[in-house]
Amino acid sequence: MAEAETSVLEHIPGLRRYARALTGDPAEADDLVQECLSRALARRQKGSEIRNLRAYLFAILHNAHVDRLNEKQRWSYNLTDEFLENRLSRPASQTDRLALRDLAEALERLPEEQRQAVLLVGYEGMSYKAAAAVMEVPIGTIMSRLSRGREALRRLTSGAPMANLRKVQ
Amino acid sequence: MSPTGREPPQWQEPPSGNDNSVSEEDLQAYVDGLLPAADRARIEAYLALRADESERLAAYRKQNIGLHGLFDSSNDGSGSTDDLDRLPPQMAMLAQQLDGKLRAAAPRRSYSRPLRSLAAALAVMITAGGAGWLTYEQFFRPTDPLVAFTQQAAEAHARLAERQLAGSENGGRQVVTWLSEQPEGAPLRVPDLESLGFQLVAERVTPGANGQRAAQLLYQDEDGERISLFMRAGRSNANTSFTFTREGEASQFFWRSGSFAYSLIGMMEQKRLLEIAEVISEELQKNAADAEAGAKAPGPGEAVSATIAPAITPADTVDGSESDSMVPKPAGTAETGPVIEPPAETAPAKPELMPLPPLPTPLPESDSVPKDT
Repeated sequence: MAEAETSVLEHIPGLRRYARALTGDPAEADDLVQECLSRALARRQKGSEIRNLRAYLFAILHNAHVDRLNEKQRWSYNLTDEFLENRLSRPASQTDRLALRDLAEALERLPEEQRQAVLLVGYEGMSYKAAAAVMEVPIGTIMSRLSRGREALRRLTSGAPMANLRKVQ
Repeated sequence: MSPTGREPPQWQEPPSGNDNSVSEEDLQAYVDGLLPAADRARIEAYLALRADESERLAAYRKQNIGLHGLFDSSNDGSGSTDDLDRLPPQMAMLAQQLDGKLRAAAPRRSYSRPLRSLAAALAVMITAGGAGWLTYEQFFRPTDPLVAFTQQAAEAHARLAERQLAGSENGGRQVVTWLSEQPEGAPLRVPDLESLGFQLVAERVTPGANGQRAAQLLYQDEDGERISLFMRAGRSNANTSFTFTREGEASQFFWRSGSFAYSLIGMMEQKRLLEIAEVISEELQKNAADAEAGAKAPGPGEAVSATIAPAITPADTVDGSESDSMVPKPAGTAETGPVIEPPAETAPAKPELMPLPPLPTPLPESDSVPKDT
């Protein structure tokens, strides 16, 4: 009910951003968003039954993404060179560019589930509860993935040894 | 909600040992600004004594900033994700349709038993616990074929309600071909609604479960108003009168005639839609008569009014039986009516009607189509 005034449209930029971060590919991302919307249309919920439209849409997007990954069997997350070029040509300083490239490379090496948790919470700013609903796992699992993912990113970007983290995965 | 007081962390030990009063969850929540104000001082006191931890959390914060640097639209040279005026058209259309669907405030009103039980099932699912919409989606599967058919028809129609479609001279060739492949009792042509000002603008045959398929015909009048007619083979010998349902602003009539089930949907008043349904039913009966041309002519008085109840009736009249009078229809003998194009085999390569996207989920199999009755 609280969502009655919000429109689907205002969640589109967020969905597209998240899908780009999730897939690393703008074209694939938009395709994913469209599939998300189609799936939502095919569902039988009414607006009044949806308590959190944003989490609802993100959950559908997330499921669509996971389904695609399952179909592909083999998939690796690659922030394409082109994508990085576009992104990294903007920031002013050389150190920023290097830091962002480091972060992108670290992100590529993260296990999928940890990357999802980091993106949902760290990038999208979702609450743990909302992120848990999106990924359909308990909050404790989200916290665990988030904590591990962040620490892996930190070590990868600082050149710290990864041995300890490999075990965890 | 406070992140404290939950079960202890399940992941491996944090890089630096915490004392008992500060959990890893607290620290993560601190990074994310999700820590209740009451807990903040405690964490800050802890961090003041732990430079390593403080540094670690600072690195996490920096990650968040970095993620925005990587993925925020303002940094993207390849096209903004934030510009709502320049969305991919298909995306904009889907968003609009979804908006319309979610905003449809009117609660379901139903007049037939299966739909009532759907509403009841829905109510149960909605109230059943914390994540209502997840549970609902995961566990709710409509089993009643009538409910499923009408529901899916409504959704399929809704998704096309605002889509731009060009008219076509093609008389529904794809559907006509499909009809000719149906075992028996199928109409030979798509209904002509010219007399009502409606023209066929789109057609689709969609695969369904167990090989059972359904056809959708989309008509549009000069004002842009649209109606969808769905056709599906069903149990033979079960004629029913019109059953009315309403979902949001969409009215829907469902009926069976011979071995086919039909559903007509439009965003209009029940009365008006009923008039259209009657014309369609009449057309279909003429169709059936044509199918039997030469063979045994159906009673001329088997007029629409006989099979079409004047009033709305509950769906439990579904099993009202009727004698067969359906003969297997020879394929390719479709006589072209005044506005119908040549049958598929001879039709020249004309611009196709706009193909429609597949239904989200296959129409469920309700009942088998007997080969012989």
